[in-house]
Amino acid sequence: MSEPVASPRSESPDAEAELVRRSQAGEWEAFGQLVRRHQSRVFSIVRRLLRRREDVEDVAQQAFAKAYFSLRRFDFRSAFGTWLYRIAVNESYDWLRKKRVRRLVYEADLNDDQLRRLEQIAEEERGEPAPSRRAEASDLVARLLDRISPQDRLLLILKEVEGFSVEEIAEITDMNPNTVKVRMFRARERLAKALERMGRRKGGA
Amino acid sequence: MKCREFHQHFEDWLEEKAGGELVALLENHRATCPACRALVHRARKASRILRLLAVDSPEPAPGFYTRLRAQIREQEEQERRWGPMEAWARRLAWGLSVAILILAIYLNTTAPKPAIPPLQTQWMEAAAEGQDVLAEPGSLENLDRNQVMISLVVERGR
Repeated sequence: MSEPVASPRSESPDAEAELVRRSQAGEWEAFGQLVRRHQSRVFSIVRRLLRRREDVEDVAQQAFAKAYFSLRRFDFRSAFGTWLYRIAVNESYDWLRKKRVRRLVYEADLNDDQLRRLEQIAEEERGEPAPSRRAEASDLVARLLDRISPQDRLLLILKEVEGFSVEEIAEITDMNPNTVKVRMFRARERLAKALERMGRRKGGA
Repeated sequence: MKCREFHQHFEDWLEEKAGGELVALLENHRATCPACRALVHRARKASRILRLLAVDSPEPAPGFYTRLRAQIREQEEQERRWGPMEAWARRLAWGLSVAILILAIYLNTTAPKPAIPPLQTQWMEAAAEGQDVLAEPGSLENLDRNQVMISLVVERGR
C-alpha cells in the first residue's frame, strides 16, 4: 500500500469505469486497484471530519467495505470517486452519531499565541508551509474548524482542502449545486467570523 | 450591481466560472463596495488558512489493504453461511403470516354464529304488555336496553 498512487483525477475515466465493471463482476484485484487510487482521498476526508487519528482507519475501512458490497448497485451516473466519497462522508457522520461526539469548545480553543501563529503561517507561507510547521499549522486549523458546524466544516474541507468543484460537492453531499453555493458562502463567513471573534476575545482578554 | 447579486455569484467568481461580462461587473462592484471588499478579504484569508490542512495528507497505516481484504472476506463468508438461512427464515415468516391470515378469514366466515336471542321480539312482547322498556331499563329481566336498540337498528337495516 505504500506504492506511489496517482491522483484519481489524473486517471482516465474510461480506465476507472473498466475497473469498476471488473469489480462488479467480482474481480478482487480490480477493486484493490480502485482502493489504491482513492485511499488517500478517502482517508483525508474521514480524517478532517473525525479528527481522532485512531478512528480514521476503522471508518475508512468500513467505507471501502460498504462500497465493495454496494458496488453492484453503482450505475455510473456519477463518477466512482464521488460515489465512494459520499459513502465515506456518510460513514463518518454515522460514526459521529454513534459515538455522540460533542464539540469541546474550550479544549479546542486556540490561545492568543496559537491564533497569532496560525494567521502568521497563513500570511507568510502562501504556498506550502515548511515541513517543520506542517503539523502545527494543521493542528491549529483543525482546532479552528471545531468552532463551526460539521456541515460547514465538510463543505469547506471538500472545497478548500480537497479541491472539489461545487458540482462534485453537490454529488458527494447529495445537495443541489445552488444550495452548495449558498451554504458555502455562509460557511466561509462563519469561519471568518469565528476567527475574528477569537481574535477579538483573545485580544480583549 | 448590488451586494446581493455579488453574493449570489461569489462562488462562481472564486471558482473562476463567471463569464467575462459578469466578471467585469463583479470586479467593478468589489472596487466600489467596502463591505464586499471586506468579504473577499475574509474569504481569501479563510481559504489560505484552510489550505494549510491540504499538506497534511494522512495515509493508511501499513497493512490496511490486507485488513480490508480480510474484513470483506469475513463478511462474504458470513453471508455465504447465513445468507441461505436468512432467505429461508424470511420465506418462513411470510408463509406463516399468510397462513394465519387465511385461517382467520376461514374461521370468521365458516364458524357457527352464536345464537342471538330475538331481542326485538321480547321487546315487542313487553311493549304489548304495556311495559315502557326504553324508558325503564330494568323493566325486562336479563335484557339490556342498549342491546335492544342495537338489535332493532340491525333488523331495520336488513
